[in-house]
Amino acid sequence: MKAGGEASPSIGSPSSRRGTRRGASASPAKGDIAVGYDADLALLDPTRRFVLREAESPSSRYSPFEGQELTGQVEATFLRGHLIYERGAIIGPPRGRYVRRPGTGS
Amino acid sequence: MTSLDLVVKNVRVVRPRQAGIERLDLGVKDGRFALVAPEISTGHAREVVDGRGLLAFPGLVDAHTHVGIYAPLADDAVTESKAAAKGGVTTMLTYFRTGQYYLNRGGSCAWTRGRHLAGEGRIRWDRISPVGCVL
Repeated sequence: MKAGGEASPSIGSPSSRRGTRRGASASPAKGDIAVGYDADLALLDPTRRFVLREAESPSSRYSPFEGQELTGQVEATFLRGHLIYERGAIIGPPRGRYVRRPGTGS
Repeated sequence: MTSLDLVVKNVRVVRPRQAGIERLDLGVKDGRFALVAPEISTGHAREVVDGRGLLAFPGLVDAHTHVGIYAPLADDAVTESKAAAKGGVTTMLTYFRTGQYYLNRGGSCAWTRGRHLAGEGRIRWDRISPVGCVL
């Protein structure tokens, strides 16, 4: 994210599909917190200090930051209004969906 | 008033194209933001989360990933989407291309196009999968 620069573009736009918003098949809109956008959310505590441990990563088994104290951490993550992560714990069933792009056939 | 599925109270909202950070409540209905306002009544909300003044970012969109390149896609998707959730990422662009890139396997453009559905039901982010067909 560029400081003071142009913000990165959002995917989709509720204004372009307002008429179909209530339909279950309406295309999603990502990248903003505004009425009509998918309720995807990251709650961040910018003051929280923590020591990074490779063993706590669900993914990589190594990190150049191992053992370092860092500041700022995501506390909770929501996907389409569902809490999927909170303070170290993955929550609920996998809910990821494939997002089809209009006009591309994929 | 329409009932809400979820109200997140008291967060400092960070949005693209906005210079400032606003302290707001967020109302969610049917998986979308239905109300974004300084004070939302929780009387009709099914669930209420206290945001405790945390910064609220739109779920992050990771714009360039290659899932399944060094581990089977269906397995890689599980660990990578968990890691993504931990970092606030809720949408990934997972790129595929033809050639021997994914565990040294490859196939036609049509075969590659079908790869994005592997791991369905085990993945925790929404995703878009551009396919590069190199002929």
